[in-house]
Amino acid sequence: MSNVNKLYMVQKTNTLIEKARNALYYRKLWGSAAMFKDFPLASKDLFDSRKIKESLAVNEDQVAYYYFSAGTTSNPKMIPFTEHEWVGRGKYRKECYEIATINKRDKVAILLPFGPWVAGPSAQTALFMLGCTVFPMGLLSNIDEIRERFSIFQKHNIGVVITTPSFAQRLLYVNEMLGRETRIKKIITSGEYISDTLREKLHDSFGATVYSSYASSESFIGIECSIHNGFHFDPKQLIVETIDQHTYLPTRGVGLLVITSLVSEAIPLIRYPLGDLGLIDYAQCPCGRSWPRIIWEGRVQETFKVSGGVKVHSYQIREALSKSHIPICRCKIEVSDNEMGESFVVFNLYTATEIGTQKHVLLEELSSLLTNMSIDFSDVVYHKIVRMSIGLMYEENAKKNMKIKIEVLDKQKYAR
Amino acid sequence: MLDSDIKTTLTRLKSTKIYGNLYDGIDDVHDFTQIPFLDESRIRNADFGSLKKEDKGLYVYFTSGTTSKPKAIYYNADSIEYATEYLKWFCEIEGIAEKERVVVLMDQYFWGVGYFTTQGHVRAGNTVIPIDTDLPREVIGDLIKASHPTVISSLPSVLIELKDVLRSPDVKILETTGELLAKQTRREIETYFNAEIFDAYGLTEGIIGVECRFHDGYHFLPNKAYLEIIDLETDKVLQEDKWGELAITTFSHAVTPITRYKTKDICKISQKKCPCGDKSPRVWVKGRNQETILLHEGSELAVKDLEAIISKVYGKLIKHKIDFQKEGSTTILRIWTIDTDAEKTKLMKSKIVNFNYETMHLSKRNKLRVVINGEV
Repeated sequence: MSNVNKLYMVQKTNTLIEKARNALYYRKLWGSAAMFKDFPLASKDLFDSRKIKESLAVNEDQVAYYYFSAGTTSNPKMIPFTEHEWVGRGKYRKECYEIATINKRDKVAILLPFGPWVAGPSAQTALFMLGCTVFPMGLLSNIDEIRERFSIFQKHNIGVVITTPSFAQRLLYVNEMLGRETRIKKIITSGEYISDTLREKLHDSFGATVYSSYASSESFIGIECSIHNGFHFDPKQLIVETIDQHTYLPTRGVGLLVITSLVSEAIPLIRYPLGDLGLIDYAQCPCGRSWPRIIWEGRVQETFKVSGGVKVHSYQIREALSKSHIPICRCKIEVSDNEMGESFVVFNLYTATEIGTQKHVLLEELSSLLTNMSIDFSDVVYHKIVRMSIGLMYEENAKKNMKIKIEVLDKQKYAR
Repeated sequence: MLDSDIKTTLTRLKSTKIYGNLYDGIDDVHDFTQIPFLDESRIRNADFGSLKKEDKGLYVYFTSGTTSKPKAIYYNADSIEYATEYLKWFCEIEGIAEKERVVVLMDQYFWGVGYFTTQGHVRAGNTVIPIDTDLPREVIGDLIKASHPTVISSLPSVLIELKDVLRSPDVKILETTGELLAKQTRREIETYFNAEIFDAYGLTEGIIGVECRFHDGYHFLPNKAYLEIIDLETDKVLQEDKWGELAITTFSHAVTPITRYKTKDICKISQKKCPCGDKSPRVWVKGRNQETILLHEGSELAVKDLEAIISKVYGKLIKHKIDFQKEGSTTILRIWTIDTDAEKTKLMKSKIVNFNYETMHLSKRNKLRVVINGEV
C-alpha cells in the first residue's frame, strides 16, 4: 500500500472511531483503549434490538431504514442504515458485481429474501445503480412458483440470477425436471458457501457461470472474479483482520475473520467478528485487480448454516433449550440436505432427568422452542425450506447444571 | 392537464411499441381525449422485447394477471422519483412527515407497493422498517415489538388478520391501501388499535390519491395522476361529480406508459374545496365495474374469469353457482356445477388456484380454499 493510501486509511479509520465514540456501546467496550489495535472485538450485542439506542452513533431521526438479522426471537438483531450509508453500501456492492462481469445490459432476477431481511433490497439498490433491469422476486418455496418464474425469465430475457446456493440447488432441480428449458448466463450466489459440485451442475443445467459473493447482514464483503479464487474486497471500504481463535492475536495464517467497515455510519462496524475462518491473500490476482482476497476456510465451531443462508449459532440453541421444562445437558445436531435445496436438522437432546410419561408434551415444547429460536430460522421452517425433527433421550451419567454441550455434524452435500 | 404534459405524453406514446399498434396515427391528435384508452389486456400482452434498453437501471414489478401472462410494469429512475415524491406528498396530507417510525407491512418484492411506500416515507423524513407479510405471525409480532412503530402501513385484511400481534402502544396512525375499506371495517380496526386510519387509493398501474384528516374522498394531484371519469356505455368523458369508470394517466411510468388506462373502478371526482384546506381535487370510489370476489391482501377474482374457467373446462358455460364466505383470513370459494365429473372438478380447482400469482400465493398460505362440488 502506498504512503498516500496508508494516510487515507488512517484518516478514514480515525474519523470512524470518532463517530463511534458517540455510541455508548463503544465507549463502554473500549474503556480507556485509544488505539485501534487495542480495541476489544465487538460482539453480537452491538445490534441487540433492546439496546439499539446505545449502539447508534447518529441521532435516531437520521436512521432511514431498519432491517433485521437473526439474534434470538425475543431479541432480534436490528441493522440500521442512514440514507447516505445505504447509498454507499449500494455503490460498493455495485463495484463488486462489476467484478463478477455484471453490466448495464443485464436483466437480473433477485431470488433473495427481502424486508425485513437486508439481502434482497441491498442487491436491488446495487444492480439499479449498475444500470441493470432488475426483477425483485424473493425466495420461492414451491415448484409451481419456480416454474412460473422460469416463464418470466424467458419472456423478459433474464440472463442473471442472484440467489443463495440452496435456492440455486432448488432452481437446478426444477430445471432438470423440465428438461433444461431455462438458460441463465450467470448466477451470483450469496449467503452460503457453494461447493464445486453444485457450480458444475449449475453450469451443465443452465449454462451458467457461477460467481460467489461473501456478505453478512451487517456488511457486504466481497466477490469472486472470473478466476474464482477467493473474494476480492476493497481495502478502502473494509479493514479485514485475521486473528487467532483462542488468543485473539493477529495471525497471517487461517484465523477468525474480523471486519471494520470504513463506510458504516448508523452503527459503526469496528472489529466485528464474522464467525467465519479464513485468510487474506494480498498477492496480485491473475485477473489483474489489486484488491486483496479473502480465502474462506470454514465456519467457527458450533455454528452451521441451513437453506436460505440462515446461520444457526450455539448460543441461540442454548437460549431456546434453557427455557424447556426439562433440563437438557447435551444437544447433538445432524444437518443434511437434499437435491431440492431443503435442509434437514435433527436435534438429539439428552437429559439427566427421568423423562416419564409426558415425553410427547416435552417434545412439542422443545420443537416450539427450537423452531422459534431465531426469527430467520423460524421463517425458513415456516416456509418448509428447513425441516426439523427432535429426539429426546435420558442419559444417566450426564452432569446436571452444566452448560449445554452442543455438537454439530454437518452432512450437507449439495449447496455447501 | 398542461399542454406540456400532453406533449410529453404524446412523444412517449409515439415512441413506444410495447402495446402493438395502439398508438399508430396519434400524430394527428390535438385533443387528449382522442388518445385511445388502454385496457388490461394490452398491458398483459405488452411486447417487452421491443423495449430499448436504457443505460440506466430499471425495476420491474408485476401485477395480477393470468398465470402465463402477469402484467409487468417497468420503472426507470424518473418513474421512481415521481412515485417517491408523490408518496411523500401523501405523507404530508396525512400529517406524518418526519420523525415517525413506520412499519411497512406489505409485499416487499414482485409487487411494487411495499417498495414504493418505503421510498415515499424515507423521502418524507421517516424511519422505515419494511416487513413482508409472508412471514410467520409470531415473527411479525416479534419484529413489531422490537420496532416500536408509531405508524403501520398495510392492507386492511392484514391488519385484521394480525391484529393481536400488531397492536402496539406507540401506534397512532394506520395507513391502509389495496382494498376497498368498508366503514364497518374501518371502525373495527380503529377501535382495536386505538389509532386513526388514513386510506390511500392506488393500483400497480398508478398511484392515485390519499385521504386527509377529514376522510372524505382521496386527494390527488392531477400532474401526478390525471383522472378522467368515463361513461360506462358511451366511453365519453363525464363532468365533475358524475359517477363513471375511472381512467388514469400517470406521468410516473416512463417506460411502460399508462395513459387513459381504464381501471374498472366506479368513481367520481370533484374540485370542491376540502375543509382540510388543501386545494387538490378529490376522487371517491364506489366499487368495481364488474362482479368480483374480494379475497385477501387486495386480491380479487372476477366472476367472469371464474365463468371463463368453467367454460374452458367443460367446453361451454354449464349451469353453476358461485358463492364465497370468509372464515377469519381465509376465503372459501365454493362452486357447484351441474356436471360433477371428478377429473374436471380437479382441473377446475387447479385452474382457479393457479389463476394468477396472487391466488397461487394465497392458496399456498391457506388464505384461499377452493371447494368445487363439495370436494376440497
